[in-house]
Amino acid sequence: MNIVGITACIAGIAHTYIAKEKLVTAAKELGHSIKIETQGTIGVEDQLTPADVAAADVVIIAADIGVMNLERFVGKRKVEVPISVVMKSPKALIQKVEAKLAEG
Amino acid sequence: MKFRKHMMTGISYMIPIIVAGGLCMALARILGVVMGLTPEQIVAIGSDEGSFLWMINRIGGLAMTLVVPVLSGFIAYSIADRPGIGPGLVLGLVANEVKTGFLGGLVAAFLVGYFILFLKKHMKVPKSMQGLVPILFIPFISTLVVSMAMFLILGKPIAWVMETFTGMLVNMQNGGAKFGLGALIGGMLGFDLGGPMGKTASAFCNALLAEGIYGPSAAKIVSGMTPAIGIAVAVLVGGKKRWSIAERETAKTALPLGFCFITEGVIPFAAADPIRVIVSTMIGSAVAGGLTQVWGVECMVPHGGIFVVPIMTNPFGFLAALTIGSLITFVLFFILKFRKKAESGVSDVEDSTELDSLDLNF
Repeated sequence: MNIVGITACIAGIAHTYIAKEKLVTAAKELGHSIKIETQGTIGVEDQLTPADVAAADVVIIAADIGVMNLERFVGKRKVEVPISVVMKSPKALIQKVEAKLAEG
Repeated sequence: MKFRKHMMTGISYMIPIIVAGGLCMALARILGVVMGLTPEQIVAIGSDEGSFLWMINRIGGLAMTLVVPVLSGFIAYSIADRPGIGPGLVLGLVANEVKTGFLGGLVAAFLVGYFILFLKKHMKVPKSMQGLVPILFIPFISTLVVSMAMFLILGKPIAWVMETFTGMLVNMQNGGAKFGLGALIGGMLGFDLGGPMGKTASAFCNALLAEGIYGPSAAKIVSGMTPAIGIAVAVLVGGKKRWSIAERETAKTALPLGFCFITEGVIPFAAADPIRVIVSTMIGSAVAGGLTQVWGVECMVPHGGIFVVPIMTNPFGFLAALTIGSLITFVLFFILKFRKKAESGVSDVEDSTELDSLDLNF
């Protein structure tokens, strides 16, 4: 699976980046490719390019706040979860997403 | 759940403004002390127009006037996307105008946000005028209607709630309920760790500063510092075995922030385990806040953390309250969250309870 996603937390200094790490680690262990954009207080980092988005099978938004530029993902299969889900169970999340996608 | 997300978006964008503004105001007063000004002169910084200190203080004051508008603007943004920002900002100014502060800003932002969503969906205009909807009709109609509602209907009751609460705080300050007042302020700050309830309590303390009542400000500052210090120390003392690298890095960030009176560094811990964290921080903050009032600590500054302690009345009382409050939070959290091994990075077992209860919608 080719995953792209965004993480964003309230204070925008810690959880945003921890969640990114967790998703990336979990995805790699499960054999997926992944790119995550962070929207912290410092601003957007590792921005997803149109090519990233075009190549993605699924978009995972892990955020406790509203995220910016969602219009990029129009027409994409997209799932939104609270950031705590990624903190607690990144692998299970990705597996559940995969299962849902397989269902069609 | 959506409600919380919208509110948190507003707060997330509001935080840098409060920090910038509060620190500028605090800096003006600290520089005043360094330059050897008397307390009377320091209080009068704001009217000494054109002076160096006035400028720094004024930057802070101007920033503070933006706090509620940005809160409202970005709550409305979270609800209605881009069209929400403009009207939301204006509604924040209206909330300031009718003296409803944070509470009014919150209410107005939700109203205007959902009103804009409604307009987006249901407004029918001839095709030739379609282009005017986002640029003209939505901003104009939503701003006008909700602002008038604030002026005519909602402003008074919300302002009354705010005034009643402020009045209650003043009465407690003057009466025998000093510990209770400090504990109430502390409990509110310790409860949501920089969230809306804490910000509300802070807003009241700031309002009281303007009235020349300086005690609650000390309670506010101490109780905004103890959570981060107590929790961070508990994690760092707990050591590598019990806490993951990410958690200890978070604690290392939270600790200096705590000394600067920025509570938000604890939020990652609170989000992961709200009950244990909040019980620890609320009790620590409430005791610390109460003690400052009993010991007559006063602080003329709304912000500044450890750096403004020297300009407080009874700075040693403040430090004692800070130590006791942090210790209580530390001990409570250490006991409540006792564990032998770090939960992440050690085993592959994930807690998917929350995930299981979610229905993923694509």
